Amino acid sequence: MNITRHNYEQYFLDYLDQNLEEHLIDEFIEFLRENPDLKDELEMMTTHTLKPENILFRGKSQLYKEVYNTESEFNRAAVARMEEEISEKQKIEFEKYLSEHPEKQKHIALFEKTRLHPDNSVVFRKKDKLYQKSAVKSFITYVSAIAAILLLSLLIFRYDNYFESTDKSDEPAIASIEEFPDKSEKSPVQDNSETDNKLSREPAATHEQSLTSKNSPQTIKTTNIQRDVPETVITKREEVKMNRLPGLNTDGLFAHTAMTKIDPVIPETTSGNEVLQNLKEERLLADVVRENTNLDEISLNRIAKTGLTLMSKLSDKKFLFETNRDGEITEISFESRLLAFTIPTNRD
Amino acid sequence: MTTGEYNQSVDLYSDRLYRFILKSLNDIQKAEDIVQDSYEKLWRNVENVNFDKVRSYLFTTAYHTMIDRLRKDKRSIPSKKLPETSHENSYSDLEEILQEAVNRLPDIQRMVILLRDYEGYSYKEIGELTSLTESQVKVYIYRARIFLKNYIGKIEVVI
Repeated sequence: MNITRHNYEQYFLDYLDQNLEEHLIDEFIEFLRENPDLKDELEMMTTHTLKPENILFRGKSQLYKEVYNTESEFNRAAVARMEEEISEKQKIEFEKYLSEHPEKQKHIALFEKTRLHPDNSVVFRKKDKLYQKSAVKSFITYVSAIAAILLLSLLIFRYDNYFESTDKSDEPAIASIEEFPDKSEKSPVQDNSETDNKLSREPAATHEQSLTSKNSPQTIKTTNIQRDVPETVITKREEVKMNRLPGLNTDGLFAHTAMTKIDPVIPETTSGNEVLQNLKEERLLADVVRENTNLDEISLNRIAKTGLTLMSKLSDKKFLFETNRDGEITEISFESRLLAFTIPTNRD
Repeated sequence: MTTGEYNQSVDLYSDRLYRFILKSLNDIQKAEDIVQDSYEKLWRNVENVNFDKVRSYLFTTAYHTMIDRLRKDKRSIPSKKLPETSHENSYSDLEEILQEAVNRLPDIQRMVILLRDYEGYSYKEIGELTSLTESQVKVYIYRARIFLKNYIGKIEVVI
């Protein structure tokens, strides 16, 4: 027998813990029958077994760790919530977490501030360069531009010619107009006396001739002026003379001159100064145009070049032309995305 | 797409495209050039691009042009950028702080978050525009947001 009075405790414990091996159980029972005093001890050990009390820890919730307590998980959830990429379940959990941890709200507020907003005051200024026109519209635009430029050039050319011709013929006429008030300011007595003398000395038949010869330079001037405005000036001059010959029958003398020279094209109220002023203003405008366009020497080639240069600028250098040594246009070319052509002008 | 639709796309998207590029590069001249380049490419392919896709087409073209230019610039001398506001501790408002922070983001993160916030593109759409995977886009945006949040937080503490 293995169980003795010296080693029975471990067999007792195994028996109480129900760990005693089956083949030892018979031997263990036999041992208790032979040692009844130890049977009482076994019963005593059985009654002293401790049973656990039902005691709970109240601060248990504080010991739990939530997933959002880690910074990475919190950030991940915050960004996902902000980007609306969070599931409904996660969103509820996260919002519950936020309500339980109000100190985390400041982080949420900072995340909200990272949302970028476009500055609508920033606009693209060169939209005009992006717009495209249809081929038909482009063609019409170019043709219109050419027509407008040629028309403008023609107008400038005509005005320039007009003022060139009037510049040459007007200079003496303007001088005579300027002299006109001076003469009228002379004492009527002196004027009358001069006229009286001539008229009294010469017969009536020669009066007209002498006056014509005396006024011959004026007559020459008048022939130039007749086409245009200074006619009025001459008319007034004649009227003055007629008024300054009292007592004489001047009707016959000046009837012819007056009849031929007075042409009521310009209103009688137009004074010489006004005409002069208008002329000056018009000449000034012509000068400005001429200076700005460098059209001192107008030629068809020059008009064409001016027009084509403007076309080239307007079309952003899509429209180009080439000239030979004499400055004559030899080739006109156009190149765009839709259309490209070259027109030689047969001038090499 | 018709010429009229093309011109309509100029009205609709040229300002938005310009803002996106300008904020990505901080260079007015380059931004204007890239807008013009993008619309020139669109015009060359006007018959092949559907009007519904024109916005994506423009932003995709602009994004890849920017990436190409940034790579070239890194190999050459850095170009002039818009003067960065050296405020240090004198920021007037949040927008300035945020802009400063955005300028400090890595190029791709900046572009991706601009596409997200300015244009409201989804991760998937941004992925298609930028040839990145959706998860790459998510990571870039996540990192950008964290950087911006931390930057704003630090400045606010300083102020």
